[in-house]
Amino acid sequence: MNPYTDRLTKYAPIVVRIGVSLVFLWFGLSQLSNTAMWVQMIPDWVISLSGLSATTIVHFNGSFEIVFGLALLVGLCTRVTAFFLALHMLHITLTVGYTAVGVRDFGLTLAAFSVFFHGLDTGTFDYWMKKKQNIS
Amino acid sequence: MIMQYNIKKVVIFLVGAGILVLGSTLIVNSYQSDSYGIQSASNVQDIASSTPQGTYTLLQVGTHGSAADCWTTVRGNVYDVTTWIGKHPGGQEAILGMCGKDATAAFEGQHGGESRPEKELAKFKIGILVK
Repeated sequence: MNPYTDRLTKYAPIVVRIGVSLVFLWFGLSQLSNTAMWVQMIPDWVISLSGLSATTIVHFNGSFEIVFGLALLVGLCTRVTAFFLALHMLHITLTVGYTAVGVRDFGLTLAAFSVFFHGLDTGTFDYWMKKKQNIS
Repeated sequence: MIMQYNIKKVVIFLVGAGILVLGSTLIVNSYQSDSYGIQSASNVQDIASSTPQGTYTLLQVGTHGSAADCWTTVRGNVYDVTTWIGKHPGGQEAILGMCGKDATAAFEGQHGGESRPEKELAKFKIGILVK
């Protein structure tokens, strides 16, 4: 075992969590600021099933990604947040299908599930709250 | 795994997050509707059918072969896809390569049988191809 690389192990879950959350934050902000670009990507069945306009669906999706992306970034209810984002990403991947974008989204889905499986890491708000509770 | 969590904490988080999501959706929705008047994607066919249609030869289509002015033809219809170049999910190159040319084979090879690309393409129709 290499003592130098062993030290890197503890940073792995933090890096994955922050990376995944930043991606969701970027796409969420993009959907709210440039809605017209994203409207075209909403599946027809979502529009007919929800009864909402494509614009509203994009705004809702963008808001969801920003709120949960922020929660994941700070590590608030890490596992629950990661679970919902992973499911969301899985749905997008299945909708996009086997394309260059879909393959990339598949990787992102697995990264989100990885955060869900791991749970809280040493950089999360959850961890510090738990540590504080244990001390007190 | 999830059962170890404080259920009350999770419920409070989900309720709070839900309120935030719905609230921001309503705020952004009303702000953008007032500012931009964005059209719903559900009236795509109306957009395509109400747009004035012209007739063009392949030679005329060929004069619109740049990124700033990109026309293409698919199955005898002429499309102005200039605004679609930056939005194409598969990248700009796929569209740029078809500017000023007939894209029937490429389009059907990539999107044959898919209803969604057909609906997207219909929005950009500007006329039909004539000899």
